[in-house]
Amino acid sequence: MLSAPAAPAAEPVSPGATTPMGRTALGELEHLILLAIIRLDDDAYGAAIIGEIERQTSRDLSHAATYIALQRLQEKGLVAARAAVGETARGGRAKAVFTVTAAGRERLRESGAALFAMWKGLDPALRGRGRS
Amino acid sequence: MSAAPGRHPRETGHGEARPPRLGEWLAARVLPEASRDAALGDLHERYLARLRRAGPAAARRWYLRQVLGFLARVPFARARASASDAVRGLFTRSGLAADVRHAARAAVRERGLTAAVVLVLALAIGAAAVVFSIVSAVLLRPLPFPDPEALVMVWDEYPDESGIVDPKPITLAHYEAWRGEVDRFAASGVFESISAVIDAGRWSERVDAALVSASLFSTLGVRPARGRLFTEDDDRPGAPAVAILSDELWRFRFGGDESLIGRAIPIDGVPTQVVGVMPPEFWFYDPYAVRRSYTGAGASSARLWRPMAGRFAAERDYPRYRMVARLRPGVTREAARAAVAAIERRLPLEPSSADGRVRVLALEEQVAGAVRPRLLGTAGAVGLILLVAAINLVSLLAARFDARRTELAVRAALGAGRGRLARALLIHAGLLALAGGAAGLLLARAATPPLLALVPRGLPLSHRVGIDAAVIAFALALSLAIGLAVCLLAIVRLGPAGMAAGLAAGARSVAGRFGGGRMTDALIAAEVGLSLILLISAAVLLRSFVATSRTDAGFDRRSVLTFQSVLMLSAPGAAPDFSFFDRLEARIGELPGVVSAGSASIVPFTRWGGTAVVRIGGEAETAARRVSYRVVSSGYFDSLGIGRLAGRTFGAADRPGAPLVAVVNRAFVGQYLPDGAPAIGQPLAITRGRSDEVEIVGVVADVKEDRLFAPALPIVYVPLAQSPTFMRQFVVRTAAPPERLVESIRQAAAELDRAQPLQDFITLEALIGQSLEEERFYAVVASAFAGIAVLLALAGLYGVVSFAVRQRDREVGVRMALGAGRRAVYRLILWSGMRPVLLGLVAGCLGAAAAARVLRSLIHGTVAVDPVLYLAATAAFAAVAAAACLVPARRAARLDPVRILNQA
Repeated sequence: MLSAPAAPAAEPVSPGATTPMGRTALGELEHLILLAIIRLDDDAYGAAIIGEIERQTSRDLSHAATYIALQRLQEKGLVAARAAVGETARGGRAKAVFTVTAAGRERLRESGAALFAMWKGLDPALRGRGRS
Repeated sequence: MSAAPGRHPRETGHGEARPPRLGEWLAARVLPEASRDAALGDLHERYLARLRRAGPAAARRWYLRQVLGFLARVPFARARASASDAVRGLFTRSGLAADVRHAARAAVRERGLTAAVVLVLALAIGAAAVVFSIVSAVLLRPLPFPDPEALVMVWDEYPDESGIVDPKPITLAHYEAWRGEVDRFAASGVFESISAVIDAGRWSERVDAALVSASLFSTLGVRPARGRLFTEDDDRPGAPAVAILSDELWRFRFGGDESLIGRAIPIDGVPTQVVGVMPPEFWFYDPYAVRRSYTGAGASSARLWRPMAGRFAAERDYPRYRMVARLRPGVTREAARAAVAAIERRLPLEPSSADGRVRVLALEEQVAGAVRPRLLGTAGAVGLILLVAAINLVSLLAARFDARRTELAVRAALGAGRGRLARALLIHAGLLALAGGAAGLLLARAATPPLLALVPRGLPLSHRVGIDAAVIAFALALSLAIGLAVCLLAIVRLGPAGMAAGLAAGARSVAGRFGGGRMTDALIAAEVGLSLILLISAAVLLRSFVATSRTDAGFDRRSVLTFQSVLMLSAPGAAPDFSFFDRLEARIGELPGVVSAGSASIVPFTRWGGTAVVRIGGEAETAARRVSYRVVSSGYFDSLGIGRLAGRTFGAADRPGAPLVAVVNRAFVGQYLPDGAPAIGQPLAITRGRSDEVEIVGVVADVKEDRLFAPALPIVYVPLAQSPTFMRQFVVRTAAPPERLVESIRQAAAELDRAQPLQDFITLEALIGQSLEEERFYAVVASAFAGIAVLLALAGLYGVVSFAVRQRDREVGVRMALGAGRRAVYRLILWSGMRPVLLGLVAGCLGAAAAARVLRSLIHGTVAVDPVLYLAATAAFAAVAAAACLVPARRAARLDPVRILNQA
């Protein structure tokens, strides 16, 4: 498990939940990670998540960036982690298996809806250019 | 969503294929413990997949790249995560004014602590501001010329008669050859240091002056404040006598009289028209200037400039000019040097090195190069003081914040975030820091005038030293930086857990150690150690100064008055009447209160020098030796008390026309005469302009010439009667205090010849004192710094121990209730305070021994590492430290256990 978030201060402003500006935006990597966890169902641990995103997007992902994003998602309460036993293929080291929380699914839905709305009507033009 | 088959590589059999151990180890350093295992396992797993797919080399590269990613990003991300809410709190506007008010009220309420913090900062910032003002004036601020980096000085390098190769002044023939041929220079000029007597009727004064070519000022790029600069016409033979004054001379001696420009004043007896006055900031490097500025700063600039007036035609071959040039844009010093060296080889001029060695030095380096190491050393010492002060403040502020713990914990419980609390503490520290910085500046301002009087006159640009805007900005920024850094450290020491604990325990704890924990102990040890380094270093410098000033100069320095006179001609071109000097010497000898009088071309410690080349009878041409050359009257040796070791000194028989004679000193005999060879009767050839054959008739004791710590050099004395000089320096041994005779000597001279000025009356002791100015300055500064550091360390120790006693009085009460006696309480508290002190003393001794390597080059007549001195300093420090602990220990021993336990 990644380090537990600092004990919430007594102040109403707990880190990451809301800010005076409203909800913090979901970053692209965070978005991808949330989707990957859902796609991996109950076997979503670090290496699998990275592998899944790499496979689907054909791009190299840095472990460090992924870990920091996972940590951030945990702090925001969008994913939860539990420990699982390690295997020989990973030097016998433990796994942290992630699941998307209800809040996470809600945020993902909002984000996805916003993206879909923005994509509507643009697809053909962008696709055409992207392939040239 | 179900996982696709084969998605997760779970092959076994690769157990021996481990990821690079170094990479794993590094990644483990930065990963938080909670996620370390999982992250490393993920890396491991995907490393194995890579290994299969791309081979071991590519897999290793990939692994290391991932590790680098962790190293680069994780620490930053963690810091951001933990700081974000604290930082957010800092910039929330609400309650800022309240925090400032609160901090101000707290500062007033806690007067004692506020005073301690302000005093600690004031001492350290004051010392730092003073040193910064000197470093800024001498090393940091550019020379007062446009584009000063392009200015260079050009020296010739060739072996002199004694074979020493070093930068030497050049002849005007060199200058003209170099100037005409070298296109690397945009402009160039020459100057020679001289001195000149100004006679304004009511007063007359000898001032440091320079002869300059007309091109010098334009090379420097300066303009006059009033009147004009010199023109090429002023350099020609037969040009009317003109002069330019420094602003300081014009203001202090002529009251800033505008009508002076265009008027003639007698300079060296010749009516000379003042054509211009330089601007106040104009300053020009002159290593031979000896007189302090009228404002009390050091010397090292001329106050009067005169043109070359015919020297280019008449004096082309005397190597005594210094050349300043401005490099063309883009030309490096090395390129200029190579060009000058090429000319030097092509047009060999005498004197010169056959191999065309010349040196091109940046003017800035020329000016400040020699003093830079010492000034930087001083700055290093101030750095130590600042460290001691900062450590001190960490303890003080932590104690202060500790006392606010309950209040902070309550505020935290009521919903104030860590950011808000941190802001409150930062504002508190910032206010204290600014107050300390301001007090430090006041201290620095008060310390500057006495410091300037102490500044060695050889310190260039010292007239620029002062508390100006840059120094103020530096001091305030430094105090704020220290305040905030210290505050952050104190907050870290306190920690969020500390705040919570404060609420729980009512700001008091029964358990725990007296010293206040490992960190406090470390801080005290560091403070003590750093102060001991400064204390020992100062003691070494001070001892060197004392040892040097007590060194036997070879003559009796007490009750001797010296002054000098340069013979004025009754009319231009008239024959010099040297008999004035002899009549004056005889007349002074008869004055009441005078024991004896003598005179010489050069008296020791007047910073003048003169050398000649000698060959001892029968030696080959190559055996020429450069020795100090002094022309002295018959009364000289007696007046100074220089002992005669063999033969005779000079007498009335050594007249012009009589056989030429010389007296040498012991060093001469020891170094140049073969063992056992009789000195008396030895023939000597002396070359100084012309060559004379003389006979050694006596040997006298050694004297020190310029520096007490330098070894005595070989000297040849010849009688004034046989080689009269235009400049005479007199030595008058008196029965009364020497200063009282100045007036009667002046009167005696005026009775003989009103036109002859007597200058620079000063006692021999004061002259020797001046030669030690540099040593004294650094010894005084180091002692002051050591004093401040020790004071700070003791105050810090006292503060920490008494704070601990106040905080832990319940523990003392419990111990006493359980039967501990007062002696046990004394022991407990003394030991808790002294343990870190002893640790610091040991570390300080080691540090001082390391610092001795720097000191070694600054001291004379004493050793840098003296176990006795180390022991004495350590013991003294330990004693005062014990005294500082004793006061709170006494307070603790007097506690009434019953009353204390009842309070709980």
